[in-house]
Amino acid sequence: MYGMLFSIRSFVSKMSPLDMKDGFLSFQTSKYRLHYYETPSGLKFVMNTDLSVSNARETLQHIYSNLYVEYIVKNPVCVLGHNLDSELFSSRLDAFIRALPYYSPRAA
Amino acid sequence: MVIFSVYVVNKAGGLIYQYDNYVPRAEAEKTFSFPLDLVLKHHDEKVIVSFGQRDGIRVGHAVLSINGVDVMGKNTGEGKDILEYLRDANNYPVSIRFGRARLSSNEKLMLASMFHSLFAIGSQLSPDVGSSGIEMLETDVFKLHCFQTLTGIKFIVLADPRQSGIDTLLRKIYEIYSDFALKNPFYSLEMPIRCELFDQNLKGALEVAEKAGNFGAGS
Repeated sequence: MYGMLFSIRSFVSKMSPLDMKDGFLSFQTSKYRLHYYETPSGLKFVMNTDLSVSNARETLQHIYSNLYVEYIVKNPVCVLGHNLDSELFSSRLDAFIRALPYYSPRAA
Repeated sequence: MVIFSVYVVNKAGGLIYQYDNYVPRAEAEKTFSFPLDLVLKHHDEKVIVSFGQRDGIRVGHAVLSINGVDVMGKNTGEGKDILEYLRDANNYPVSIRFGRARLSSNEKLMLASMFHSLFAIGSQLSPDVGSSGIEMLETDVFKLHCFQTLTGIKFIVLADPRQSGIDTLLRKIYEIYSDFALKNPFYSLEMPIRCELFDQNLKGALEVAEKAGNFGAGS
């Protein structure tokens, strides 16, 4: 997946008829939609949803600023760059996703 | 509310047709005096801006012409190396035009093949079974729509993100392809499309889609 996203980003920057500000946002196939958000520090947030979700960029931005920064970056035990090991992060992330308006308990 | 370009890719991933409907050329021409406050570098046979964004000249823009003479790759129109030319104070004041680099045919071929592979990987990454390839790719500046026929031909359209009715346009392009390319006895399958009627009808269909798109989304 990382290679795919890297290729898509480079493809989009060459193909684009105008100068881009945010870059690649999402792509969709007949079954799913992949949303992408990259922070200025190079961290990539990817979310796969079904086709009804059109814009998850704010969701991903919220996950970054309110969950990742709070529970991983500010955690002295978590080494940035390694696998995210914080249980608190996982449980808060789970609760946040379940609270999203487009999350359906059927899928769980 | 525009359609930027149309690409047609064959079964093997090779580009067989390409048409640029609208190419927005954001260019900036400025006169500079020594020393140049932009940092330029070589990249892919072109000279591009690496640092020093200002006044419409963005990072990534390429040098298009110097003193009105179009550049040829890394060299000026006369054959001198651009960076050497700009390092010499005697050549100033100089007027340079910067802009987004135009894609050469080779680059378009490469990008089409790249998309062909990305399309295939998109179907494999699917969390659900039986997914098609990438049907739509969205960025903040354009939306890329792709329609794959049962025979493996892909019709790719790059349009404004707010443009509507692209699905119908893709089906229409497929119809035009089957009418004017496939039924042409001189056209061989999977080869580059060189049929005048195909070009004409395609342009007509794009105009119709752009006008219809205006009613659909409003402005």
